[in-house]
Amino acid sequence: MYSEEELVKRCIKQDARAQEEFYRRYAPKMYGVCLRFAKNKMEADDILQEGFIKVFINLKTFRNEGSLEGWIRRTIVNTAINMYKKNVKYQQDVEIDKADIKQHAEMSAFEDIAAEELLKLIGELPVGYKMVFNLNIIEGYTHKEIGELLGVSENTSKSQLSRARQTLQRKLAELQNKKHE
Amino acid sequence: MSKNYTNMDDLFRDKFENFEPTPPDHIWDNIKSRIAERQSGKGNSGPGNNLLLSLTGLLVTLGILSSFLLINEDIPEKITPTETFIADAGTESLAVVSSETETAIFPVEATNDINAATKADIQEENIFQEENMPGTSKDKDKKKKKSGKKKGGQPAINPVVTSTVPAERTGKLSLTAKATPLKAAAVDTRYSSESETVNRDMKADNQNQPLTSISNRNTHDDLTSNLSDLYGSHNDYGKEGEWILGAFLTPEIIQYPSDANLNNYSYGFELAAIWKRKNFFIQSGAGLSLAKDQGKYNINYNKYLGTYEDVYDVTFDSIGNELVPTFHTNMVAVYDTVKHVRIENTKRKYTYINVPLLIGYSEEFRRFGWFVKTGPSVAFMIGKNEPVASEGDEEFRLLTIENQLPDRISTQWSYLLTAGMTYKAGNKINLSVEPVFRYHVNPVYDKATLQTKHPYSIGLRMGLLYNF
Repeated sequence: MYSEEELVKRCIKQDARAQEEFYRRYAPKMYGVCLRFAKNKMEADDILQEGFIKVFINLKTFRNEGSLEGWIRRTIVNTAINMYKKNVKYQQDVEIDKADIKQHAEMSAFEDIAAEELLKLIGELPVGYKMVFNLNIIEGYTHKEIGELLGVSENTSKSQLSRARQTLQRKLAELQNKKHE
Repeated sequence: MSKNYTNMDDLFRDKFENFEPTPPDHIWDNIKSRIAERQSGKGNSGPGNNLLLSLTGLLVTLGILSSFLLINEDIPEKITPTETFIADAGTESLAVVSSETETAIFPVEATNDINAATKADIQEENIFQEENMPGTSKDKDKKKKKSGKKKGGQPAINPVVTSTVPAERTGKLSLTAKATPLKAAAVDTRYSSESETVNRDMKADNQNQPLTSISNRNTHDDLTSNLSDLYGSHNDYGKEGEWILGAFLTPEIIQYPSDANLNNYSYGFELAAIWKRKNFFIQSGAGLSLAKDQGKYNINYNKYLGTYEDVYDVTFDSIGNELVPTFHTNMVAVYDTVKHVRIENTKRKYTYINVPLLIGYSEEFRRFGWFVKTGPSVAFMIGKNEPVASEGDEEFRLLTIENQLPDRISTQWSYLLTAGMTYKAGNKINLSVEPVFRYHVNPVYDKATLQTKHPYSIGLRMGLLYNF
């Protein structure tokens, strides 16, 4: 098993074994990212495939100043964004919905919930909501950055996040009720 | 381990932090084969492109062959470059004899009384009688020709040209015709007008003196130039094709069906040579095109927060009865841990050399004309300017720079279809304007996800044509 630095060097030199090890090491985590962004499993497979091809092609541009995993993750996220932009023909700017952006304080009931269940809830979100929620809440992008990446206004990003939260809270509550029944 | 989440965001973040599902095996197989394909073809070639290369090579070859055949179509097949120019002393007639026995022979009388129709009917045997006269060079030539035929099974190529000019009266060699019966000239001498010209020239030079023999060894090129000297301009012999020189300026916009962000512009300048025969033409040339792309970098960074003094060593000194510590420090910059992203747009510039090969059809009506043309074109990248992402004014710790725009490939094949109009602005000058549709046979960009959808471009070519 190679060190991260050695692995990168070998991958740049097109060492097939190192490339496979690289993939095996990082693919599971990235597949989780893909599943969150994709509308179905097939699309997640495509994102992972195209993302890793980009990673291998551009690995020589990686500077060791940051985390390799973070760099791969951003490449995968960008691939997902490109896929999303290709599929979205028209996106309407909407006003920020300030109706209900407060959060439910009590979340302790969900401590045992599995990631797969949350993934299912995210998968049920409208595609725009899902993108913004993933980018902002999980990946840490600001609304300004999301606006630039998705080609929407900052307000649209905020509004979609707000609605995504509302939807998810409702769904979480439903899930909670089901579990208690 | 249970956790109490204070809000929903933390719940999602935490649950997905270690979410690592196993991807299907076929994904790695696909990635592996794509990488291998890329390595073997260096990104922009492969079995498909090899086929494309072969097809284009075939097209170019066919184009060159077609133009060669078109140019040579005027020449009668049976007349070879080896011909004998005979001036008959008895009849004062001039005949052109091919090295092939079955070749038609067209005598030209060296008198003003010309009846080309009857002169052209001189029998082959008569010529042979002349040729068989002992002691003449024609006899030798004939033998040479025969031996040449036997050896090669083909008509002998013998650039010997004989002009028989008797010098009985003058006592010296009187050379009139440098004896250059070219193929075209041989055909044209069937007609009385050309025959007259020849004979008048002959008479003027010889003053009706009988011809004796002289042999000159000339190459075919010599014969051509000599004939020009003798007969004057070739213009009278019928212009079957014409050459046109064109200069074109073409702004184009490239549409990429797979990704709207990749649309870009190019400006081309092209010099073209056009060979036109009747309504058909072949066009080729070379052009320079300048293409501009909107490049985009995603720059990931951590923000600079400030500095602190990091103590890496402490030493103590005794000053009087007191121990005084000395702190040795390094200044350390502090950055936040949030991954920020900055989008930076750049302009990228590329220079290509284009080589098209087009065939077309045109019609003219008084000053106006129209045409259509189509064919392949290849563009080779000869220069590129891809600015790197700037550091920015703000202090930050750079994490990564991602290039959002894929690299362009160095050799592009495309297929052109154009239709346009011409306007005759002068005796030899035409103006043309033509919308151009270009289908890019291979993608412009080296981007794996865009291999299946081909870009196309639309442009407007404006040209100035000069007819020679």
